[in-house]
Amino acid sequence: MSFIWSTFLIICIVFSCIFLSPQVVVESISNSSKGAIENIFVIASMLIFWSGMFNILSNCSFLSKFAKKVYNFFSFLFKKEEVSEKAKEYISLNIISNLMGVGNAATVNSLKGIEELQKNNRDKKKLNRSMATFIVLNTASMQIIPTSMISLRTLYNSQNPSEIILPVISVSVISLIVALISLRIMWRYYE
Amino acid sequence: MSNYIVPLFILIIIIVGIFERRNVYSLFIEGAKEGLKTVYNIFPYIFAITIISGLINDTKILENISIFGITGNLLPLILMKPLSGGASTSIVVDIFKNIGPDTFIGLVASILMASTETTLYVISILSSKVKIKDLKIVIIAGLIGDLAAVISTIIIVNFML
Repeated sequence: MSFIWSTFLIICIVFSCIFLSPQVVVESISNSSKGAIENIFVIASMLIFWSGMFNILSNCSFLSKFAKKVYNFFSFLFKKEEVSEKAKEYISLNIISNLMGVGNAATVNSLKGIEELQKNNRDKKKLNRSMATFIVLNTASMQIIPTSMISLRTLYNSQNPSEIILPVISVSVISLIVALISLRIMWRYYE
Repeated sequence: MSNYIVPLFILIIIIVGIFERRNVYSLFIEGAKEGLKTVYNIFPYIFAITIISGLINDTKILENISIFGITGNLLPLILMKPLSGGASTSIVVDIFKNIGPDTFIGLVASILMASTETTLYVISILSSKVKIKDLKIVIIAGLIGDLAAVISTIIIVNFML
């Protein structure tokens, strides 16, 4: 991450100093800082709400049992000994909220899930396989109906805004499978 | 129909909570407090990503290069999507305005935008929670997934038109 971040930063600054003006860099940084502060308010509002909601949920035995049942469908992705009962619950809640397209709820559960997985992790400075799988799962889009994209297309006068639904689902599935398989292959050399 | 999912979901949580005789209100407060802490912890990571995605956008550096014939319009989207949802949305809006949502480029942009996630952003936030720095393997796997999405989208759109 550090490598990617610093490379982008250096390329952008050198590029704009040579081809544009150094003023662009200064303006851009101050604008994005302002933007980041505005963004965090938007993210914070929904994140806090869902964090509260899911705290109720995980304290209800009925709902958390239901969540653990859902986990069974995905258990083949994870290693048994690395996933605690609590982690199972958050993983399935994360997958459910991703499928429903409630991004903020998914964020809350992914953070809780990775925290629970870390508790069972032997080497705290290295990801174990279940943690890596869980992160890669979250880097793929799992939303069943791309509602915001359909409304954006409608806004710009598309003749058939929802014709993308099937292609989106198939592309998401392909990219998720490719990502998971390449993770598994690389994992052999990593360990 | 999809408008009902979220309110219904909240309703079920509250009703089951009351039915099981939990103190719903104090549980909500407890969770919200934790959420606030989370926001505090992930903010620097969001900040760092916003700075570079802003710089890439403002210097228009991506519009000046082309790879494999994917020029001008699509390349910024492909490279921006892993970093920032907001910046890539504005690129898609530009494409819709100037080229149209039903053209080849418009369709590729729609499908790519909806079928991939902000890979690097997600990885940096999730890893911030557990303070793990060795992330090479998940970054590479995530980006390979994004590449697969780009290739399959272009193939699928070729069949659609």
